[in-house]
Amino acid sequence: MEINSYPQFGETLYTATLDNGLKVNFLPRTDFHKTYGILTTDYGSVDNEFVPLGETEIRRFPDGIAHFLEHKLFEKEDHDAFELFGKYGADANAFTSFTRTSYLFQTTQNVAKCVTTLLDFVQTPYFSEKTVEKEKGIIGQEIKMYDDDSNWRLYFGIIENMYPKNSLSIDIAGTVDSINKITAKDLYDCYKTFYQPSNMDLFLVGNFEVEAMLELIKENQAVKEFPSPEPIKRAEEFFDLEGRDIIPYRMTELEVQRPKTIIGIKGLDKVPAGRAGLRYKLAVELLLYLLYSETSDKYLELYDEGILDDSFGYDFSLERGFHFATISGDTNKPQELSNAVIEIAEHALEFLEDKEAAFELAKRELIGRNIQAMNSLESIANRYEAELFENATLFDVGALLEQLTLADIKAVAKQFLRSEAISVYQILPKEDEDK
Amino acid sequence: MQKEINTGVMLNVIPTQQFKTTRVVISFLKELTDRKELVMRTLLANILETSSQAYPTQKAVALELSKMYGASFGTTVSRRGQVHILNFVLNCVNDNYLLHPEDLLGQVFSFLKELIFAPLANDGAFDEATFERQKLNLTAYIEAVKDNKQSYAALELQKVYFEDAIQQAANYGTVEDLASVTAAELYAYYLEMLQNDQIQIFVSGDVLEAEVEENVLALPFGKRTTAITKLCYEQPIRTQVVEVVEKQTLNQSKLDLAYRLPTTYRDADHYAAVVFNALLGGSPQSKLFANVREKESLAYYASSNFDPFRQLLLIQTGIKTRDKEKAYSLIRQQVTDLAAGKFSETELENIKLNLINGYESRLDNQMTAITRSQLDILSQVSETPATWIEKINQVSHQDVVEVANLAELQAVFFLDGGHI
Repeated sequence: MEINSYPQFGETLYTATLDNGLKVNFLPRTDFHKTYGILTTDYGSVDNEFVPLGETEIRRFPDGIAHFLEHKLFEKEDHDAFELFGKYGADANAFTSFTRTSYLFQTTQNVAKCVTTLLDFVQTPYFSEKTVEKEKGIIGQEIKMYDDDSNWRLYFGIIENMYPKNSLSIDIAGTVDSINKITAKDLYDCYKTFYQPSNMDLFLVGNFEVEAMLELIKENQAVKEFPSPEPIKRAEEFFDLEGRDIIPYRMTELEVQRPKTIIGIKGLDKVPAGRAGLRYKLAVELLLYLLYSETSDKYLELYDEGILDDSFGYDFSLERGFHFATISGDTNKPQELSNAVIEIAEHALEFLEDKEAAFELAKRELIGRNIQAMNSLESIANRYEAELFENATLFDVGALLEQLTLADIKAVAKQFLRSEAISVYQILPKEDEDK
Repeated sequence: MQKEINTGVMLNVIPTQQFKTTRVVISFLKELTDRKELVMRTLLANILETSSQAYPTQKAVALELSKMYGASFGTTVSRRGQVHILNFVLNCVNDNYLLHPEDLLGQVFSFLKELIFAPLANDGAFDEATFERQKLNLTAYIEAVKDNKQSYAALELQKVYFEDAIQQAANYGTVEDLASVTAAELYAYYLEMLQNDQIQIFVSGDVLEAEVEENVLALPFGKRTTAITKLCYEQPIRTQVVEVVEKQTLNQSKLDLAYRLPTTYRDADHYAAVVFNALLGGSPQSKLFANVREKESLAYYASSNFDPFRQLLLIQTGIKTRDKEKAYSLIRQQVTDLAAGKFSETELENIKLNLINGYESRLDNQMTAITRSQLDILSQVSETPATWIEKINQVSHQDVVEVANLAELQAVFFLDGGHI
């Protein structure tokens, strides 16, 4: 077992890779009541074109299949995995994102039973045509609910602008039409390819004993048979280095009280692999903080002019194969807000001149926020990145932040903030038919 | 440590090494007498959060927080029955975890003192520009809630259910009341609040009690005489179920039901009501989830929640318009079934285990001990985690049946999304 100590935070992380390829991480927190466990596969909604395990040709699967599989994995021939966790008093859940699917539980009792239940239900698929048909109704309702959520529509609107030719632009849950095409056989094909132990990791954090837990997991895995690990062959990623695909502007009308605008900045640059990728991500976060947080002069100016308010915010996503920033807000002056956000991005380098003091404060802010996040067992486990950032956790972030300089931020600004990478999407209130 | 540092001003220090942060909460508590107070207190919370004499803009406030290693700070408003609570909440990293420690706790208290006692005001009124900006923002915020259909439906149902005007309104108040508030009126209200509200100060973290007390004594809170007389809100039973339907064009309709559940907070029947709610719609093992959502695939969400301070049990569902009648009778059936004792001992035991798991898990959140301590003071019944767990474990099959029989349907709100 590999042991990493973080004396500044009083934390120790234990890591092991089992014979079947499953990676396990343990972070004991014996002064906490609960244990949180999350089992993740490196497979999400964007992975719908690949060579199924045992075949030779690339095949395309219906949109939303990763999310559908996540729902269906809970249901077995004669029981539901939720019920098993229920018996132990535990809560269970799962989520699917663009590039990962995770199954999780949290409990204060019966930790060992919950760990084996998690491994067993995820590693024992059962799909039948009958249960697949029933699920279509439930997921159909879920998709419709998101259709009524204007913030979700705004977010996907800008992603469609930035990635019109990429599966990223399709709702994680798929569409009512696409999920109707899913069969039990499709689910097995996806499962076999992406749920190999070598493509998965388990992260446990909370109140348990490390050595005993490792033994328990080893025994659990030893009695199961897995085919030997096979490399996964996804379809070639589609690069758009010049940003030619980007749709610069679109709008739609919906039943909303106020206009909403969102500005997307698509990453056209290549992100370095491993820890350097995490360093890149932190540099962009510092950059966006300097440009768009409440501490910037421009923010206050726009706030006082009534162009932005507390609904304004920004976000940066970096996952396998893509990265982008979004900046959004509800405002009666959507055009002014979009223009101001774009102007700030286009003049970022000038803006960053002589900002040493602001930069040091921004660093302090992010270092402090990172320590605050360590109070949450969920944050510790959910923010672990196995493949993407070479097993990085929250405990690695502080040291990387300390090393960053204003020159690094300027370099990242030059690389990431490109005019041709910017797009705008707006939702405007529907004109009242009576008026 | 609990200590009354002045009449009506309580200090609670909760030492713990579990967390890497120190959390300070300063609460202003008042029994409301007028609906307008709701929106005034929300506006006040927003103004005091973003400005003061020394930090006149939110930029100045944000920079000060950055200096304190990104301390997170905000004001919140909430309601427990008849009591309104305006909180100043600040969370900062404990010096032990910084490479270059400084006296963060001292800085935190100076900051809070400035924001609470030195607001941006002159000549008996809040700064006009700040006031108008925040008033506009709050109006927009309240209007925007209409875009979240799930919250909207639940709030409309409360309007139908409650008879009292204050209870009918959302926690943050109404735009109608907000329209008439002036900068001078709000400032007068602020002075009154500062002088008369009950004050509770909580500090949780790896702190020294003496050090905390020294900091708290520097806050100029005078003694106050108006105590809180009544926590819970009760209303008489209605013989007719009131149903309201509203039409909008949506992909999904919302069907919400309000039941009156007259139990007394922290009395024996309270714990039975907590278990009853969990069985009905409080978890993925519940009747509503299992039968309405999973078995019949009638809804994407179907859940219930219980407000013990207002004796209200609220059921919320998202459904297809055409399934309304079927969903309505199936939902009512779940309540009737529990009242008829149609649940097994195993279901009961599993739900209790799940409730205990949830309760113990929340002890891993730094806010929990503070909230619990606040409820102890408000309800004048103190309860340790061990007693809570014991009382939940004592709830029997018969107790749940009895409490389920107390639940009476009073109001229904249907947000009809149309036939898509």
